[in-house]
Amino acid sequence: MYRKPKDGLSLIGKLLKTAGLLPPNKLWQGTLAQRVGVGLFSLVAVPCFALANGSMGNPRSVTALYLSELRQLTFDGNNIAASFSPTDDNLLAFSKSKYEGIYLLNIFEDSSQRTFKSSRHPIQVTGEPKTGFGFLWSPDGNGIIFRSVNRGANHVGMINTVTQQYADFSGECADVSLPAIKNGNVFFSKDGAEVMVDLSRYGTRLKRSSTNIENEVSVLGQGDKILVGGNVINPSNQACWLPRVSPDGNKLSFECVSGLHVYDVQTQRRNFLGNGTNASWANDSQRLVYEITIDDGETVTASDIYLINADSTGKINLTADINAVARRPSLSADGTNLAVDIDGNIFVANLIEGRVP
Amino acid sequence: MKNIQIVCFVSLLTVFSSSVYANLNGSKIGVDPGHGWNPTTKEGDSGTWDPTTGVRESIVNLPTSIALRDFLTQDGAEVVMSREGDYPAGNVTQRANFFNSQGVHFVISVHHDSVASTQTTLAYVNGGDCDMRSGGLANAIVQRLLQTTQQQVALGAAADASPKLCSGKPGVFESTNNFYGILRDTSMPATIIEVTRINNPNLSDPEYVKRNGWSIYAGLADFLGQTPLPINSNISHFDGAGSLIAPSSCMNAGCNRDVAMMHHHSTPSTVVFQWFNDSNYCDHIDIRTEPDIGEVIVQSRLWEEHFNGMAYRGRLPLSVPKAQGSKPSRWNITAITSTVPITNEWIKVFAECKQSSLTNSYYSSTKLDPTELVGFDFGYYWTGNGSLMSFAGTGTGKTEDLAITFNSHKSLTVFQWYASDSCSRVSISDKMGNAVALDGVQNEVAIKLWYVDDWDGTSCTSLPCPITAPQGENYYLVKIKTDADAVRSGQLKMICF
Repeated sequence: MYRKPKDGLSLIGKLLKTAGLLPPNKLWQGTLAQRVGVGLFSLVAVPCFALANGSMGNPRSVTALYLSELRQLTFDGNNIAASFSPTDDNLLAFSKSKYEGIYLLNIFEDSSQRTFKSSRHPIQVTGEPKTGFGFLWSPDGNGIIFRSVNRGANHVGMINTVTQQYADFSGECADVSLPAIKNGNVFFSKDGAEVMVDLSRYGTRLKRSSTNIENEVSVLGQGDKILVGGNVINPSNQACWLPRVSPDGNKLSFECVSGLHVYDVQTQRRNFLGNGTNASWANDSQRLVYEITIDDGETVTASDIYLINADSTGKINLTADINAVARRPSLSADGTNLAVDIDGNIFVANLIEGRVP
Repeated sequence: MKNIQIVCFVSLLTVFSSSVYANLNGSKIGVDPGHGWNPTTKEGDSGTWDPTTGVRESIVNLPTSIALRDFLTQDGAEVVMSREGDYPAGNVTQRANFFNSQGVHFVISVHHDSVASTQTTLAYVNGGDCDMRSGGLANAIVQRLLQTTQQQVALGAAADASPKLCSGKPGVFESTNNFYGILRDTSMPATIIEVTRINNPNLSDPEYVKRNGWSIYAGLADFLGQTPLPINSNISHFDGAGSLIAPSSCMNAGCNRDVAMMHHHSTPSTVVFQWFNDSNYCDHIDIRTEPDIGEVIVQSRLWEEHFNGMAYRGRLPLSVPKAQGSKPSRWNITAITSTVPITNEWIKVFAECKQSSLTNSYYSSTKLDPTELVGFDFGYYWTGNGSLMSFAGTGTGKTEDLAITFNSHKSLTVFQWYASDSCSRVSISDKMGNAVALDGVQNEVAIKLWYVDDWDGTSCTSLPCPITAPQGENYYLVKIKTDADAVRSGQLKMICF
């Protein structure tokens, strides 16, 4: 049965609860129980013991982490790959099955507004094919950058979530890589050539760590190579893909056959995090959440969500006692909410630091 | 019988090399040889295995996948593979993310089923995808594969079983639990192909494996509305010369009838006729052989229909009407292929223009896959017909002949030439005697003995081009490839001299 941690709610959670903005637990209890089994709820408050003293950033002292207030946000079994806005802790972007299109969803519905960003009902940002894989929020949270794949007519662009206007970064081209964002610039390769797009030219408000855009070190996932400043950083003889730059622009994670890696752009050192996929950076650029899936060569039989420091220390299984295949995690900007997809629906839980109940 | 049919199908497809036409140009295909295992470190997963031979699926999936890759590449597609050897290549989530990152347009995951499986050749798609592009792709592949695996189509278990058979798509199943990672986590149409059971003894035959790889490629081409390239573009089953059947005026180039020769060989033979359907003299041609070889496969199309046409299997004599939908007066290309290797020293194949009622329309014969055509050297139109030269003793040979080319297209023309004392040298020229430049690379004159595989280029860099029979009395094939506008008159002439 569900047990609320004694000191479970984060400060923001408490405020929201006080303000009456947290939805009642019954919102999600019934439907989720029917879909993924009661076992999921027996440990909704999951104690995860770990001390996270990252050497790559400020040390973090954590007595325990909990997943609490797990809420099911979608119900049609056709939703995946949720990603929190970097500036709005209530706003999620997600995709449909097979990564078809991108949608927005406000996890706390404000019925007084039905704008592009405020609805509890999913609103389509784009329906273009395959855009849901590898899409990125602009740093100011007002844009979503994505790649669309059509035979002979691929492109990279950004849709403004406020004005709904679309900016085409690449034009139609035969081959274009997934975009990467670093220090307010979007990088991608177009038909083999590197392209950099300055987001500030498209109305994106930026807090750049450097104003010297000309000397910006590029990050590209090109073919099965990860390139930083034009240099391949793959571990030897391994195919790698899906570079994800940390919000501060100093590190990037990427996937290889061997597992997850983190590369520090400044020290040019590479850390191996171990097996894992679909990593997503915490806003502090010190930690990542990711998944470890297990399969038999065809069928994914299990998946857990982990939190880890960028230096590969402090690995915590956040879903060890949850009887569900949780996938594609994303942390809210304040680090208090975790979004995952389970069996084709989007769920959000509070991620709470505190003492074990 | 089944084996024979497959062989002759191959024969129709396998004529000339140096393909330059790319059906799948612009396509990016993900090929995933299922599983991947390191027996030393025990890393990865080996898939199923055959307890009799000990062979692992991770190994068996490779050669079929590599054959698939090669055919796709040959046809102009860009191929992204998850692995090219037997080693761990990541779990299915990693593979899906890899293909997603690469932006491939389709993913085909190649597997072989367990010995215990009650099923045979089949495909899986994600739940709900039966009627989506994944379902269409899987269905096209299974239909092709059944021809080469020689397996029965998998019909599945109870209707409510998981996976569930897709309605109207025999051998295609949808995953109802959606847990096939490569299907669920990819962003593009994807299918898992179970080629056959792993203990199929034919899997030790490289040709069998290659044909299965070709079938998967051909299924994808079918799905995209393209005609697949031949399975083997280097085997010369093309034995016979085409032969010109001219309109009413003989033009020294055939008089509404002609003959081409098939020869004794280990594989079936194909001859090609070019003929002009004319509303007054020739609305169909009658085909017969001496001696009668019984059943043949006939394919016919308009000259400019590069990849369209129909194939039928029927018994001789057969009438071949003008290509359907053709205008009153058009050039047709008709290929005749024996269904078995010719055992006589040679067979004469006659084609004769007719205006009367059809003797035995090939349309009433068994219709075959329409996509496997006489569309030889892709990129060039087989606009020219071969022409029989001076074969003594048959009463049908000539000492000169014409082939029609079309100056708006790159053209391929083939003559059959019987070199004898009375015709040991020939010259190929523009009918009007104009000089025609050849670049010697793509555009050339080449010759070969009828039964060998490889063509030998000649030293000609322009027409007229004189050729001496390189190995004395025998049948030769001479092909001429020209650029568009090269042959202004649209006709090539070959004469003995």
